[in-house]
Amino acid sequence: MISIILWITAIALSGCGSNSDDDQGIVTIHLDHSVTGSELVLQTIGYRNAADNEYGITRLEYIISDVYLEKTDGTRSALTAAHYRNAFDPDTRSLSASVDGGSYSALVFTFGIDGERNHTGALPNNEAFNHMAWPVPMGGGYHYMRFEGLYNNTDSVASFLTHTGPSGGNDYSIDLALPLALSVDGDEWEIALIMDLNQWYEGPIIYDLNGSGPIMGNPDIQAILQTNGANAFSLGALEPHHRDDSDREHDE
Amino acid sequence: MLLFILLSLALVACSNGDKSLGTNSGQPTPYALNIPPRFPPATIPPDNALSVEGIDLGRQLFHDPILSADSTIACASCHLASAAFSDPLPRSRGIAGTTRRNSMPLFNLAWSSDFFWDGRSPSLEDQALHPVEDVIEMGEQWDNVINKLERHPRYPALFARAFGDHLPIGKELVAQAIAQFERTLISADSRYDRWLRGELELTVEERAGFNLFFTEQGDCFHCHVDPLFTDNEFHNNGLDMAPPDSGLAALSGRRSDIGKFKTPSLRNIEYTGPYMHDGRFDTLEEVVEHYNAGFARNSLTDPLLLIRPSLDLNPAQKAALVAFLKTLSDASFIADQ
Repeated sequence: MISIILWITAIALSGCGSNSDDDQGIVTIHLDHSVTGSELVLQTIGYRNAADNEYGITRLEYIISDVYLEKTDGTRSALTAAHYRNAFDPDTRSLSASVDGGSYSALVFTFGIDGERNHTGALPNNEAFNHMAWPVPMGGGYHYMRFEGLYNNTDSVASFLTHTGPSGGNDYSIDLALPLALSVDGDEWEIALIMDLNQWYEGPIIYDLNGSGPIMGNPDIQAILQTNGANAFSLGALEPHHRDDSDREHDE
Repeated sequence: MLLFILLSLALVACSNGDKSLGTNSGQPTPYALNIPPRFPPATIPPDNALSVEGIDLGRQLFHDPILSADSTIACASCHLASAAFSDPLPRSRGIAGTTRRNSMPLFNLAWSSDFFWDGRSPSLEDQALHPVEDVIEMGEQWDNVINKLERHPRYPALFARAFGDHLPIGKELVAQAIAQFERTLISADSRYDRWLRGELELTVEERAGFNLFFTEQGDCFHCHVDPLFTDNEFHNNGLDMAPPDSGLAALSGRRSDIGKFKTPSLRNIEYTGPYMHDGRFDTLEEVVEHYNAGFARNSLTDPLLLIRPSLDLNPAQKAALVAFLKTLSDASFIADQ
């Protein structure tokens, strides 16, 4: 007990004794989605990709990990180790973190989890991450993405399951560094990280949903989706965080 | 300030030494759930913390037909311990006929949400309120239940022990006590669990079933997520081309939710037949055959099923899948209740 109190005291004193954090700011990333510029509407069949599949979305869940802001000098401020996003659940839309003051030039993250760390039990034991489990008999770890829906084929409705992950024990996660120009000086900023869903099927390799079938055990298709997925992300405009009434209430 | 609070808390904790909480002034005795290995943290509502006395009261209420209008039906009448707290009947018998749906099994509820097959109750506490006033199930009015409990020779004292500061007896306390008891129904000691713990070996057939279950060939794992063997979500699993029971859609109003029902856990599935929300399948073999080739295909059916024309399992594979499902039986859970 004494050692815990000393540890808490040390942390508290170290926090009180310095003004070096004055320029720290808060950055919020919103994980948003579009389909070739259109806003995402779940469930409705009405989107069309380059293979001329007319499709709708019934599920979109994914993990991003090792999320950093990178300064021009190469130093990094961590935002989160791993974040689960479910497009059906607004509570999962955003991640926020305090970052050091300074000029940042990129948002850096991994779509999915890199191969070395993608093993069963690597992420916190909660329903969201467990939901993304990649089964042990298929190598273990976690799906990067579960993107599911329906499409119209020639004579009936059919489904697609764009499930990406460590197929065959290989690493198909995607490392991304999206340029930005952000100067943090004790203030708060927010920015949208936008995934364009059609890019998974055409950016640049055209992927036809017809007859795609289950793909978790198909390394060739995972490689195609890895290539396309690298072009699926962009950043929206940087905006200063607007404090609303609930923020003010909270502060008081 | 934070440091002061932390140090104060630490000093208070030290001054208590190793005294058990709840032994003073008749306060209920806190009860900590024994969380099984591999299970995520349990969800306990802060306004209904578990106590030894609350759980005991809930257990007695769960088994007492006093909750029904004619004192013939208890919760336990349709949730039999021998059936993992489900009912061997396709639809249970209430005081005024048979229920609309199959009785759901009750275990591992501290890891569940959105109760009933259609998810209409957001909490166990809310769920426990419904059967009493359901005209088919218990057909009673809560005011009458409270009157009976207040006049009962034993219950007033049990409520006082469990909820001392919150009396008088009300339906909310009844529901809280039942919910506390239900959260203690934990099942995690099946042959599968013991195999994972290295305590025994599965047979060759059971291993084959395990591999089918957890690969795309059987594709059970996407909805029946380990370790709870449910995703706590709602799916249309293709039981009917035109579902006579709209399921989740009755609440959401969305056409896409027609025929969606909550994914049941497959733990103890050997004990919980008949199967599906309407109890239409008597055996696990019928269930496996439904997923193998027998489901309805239309725009309401879950994409996880529509992805292929058939699972195309041969008889040996289907038998292996059933053999694996039976490794999820927790005999000690049944025996201990």
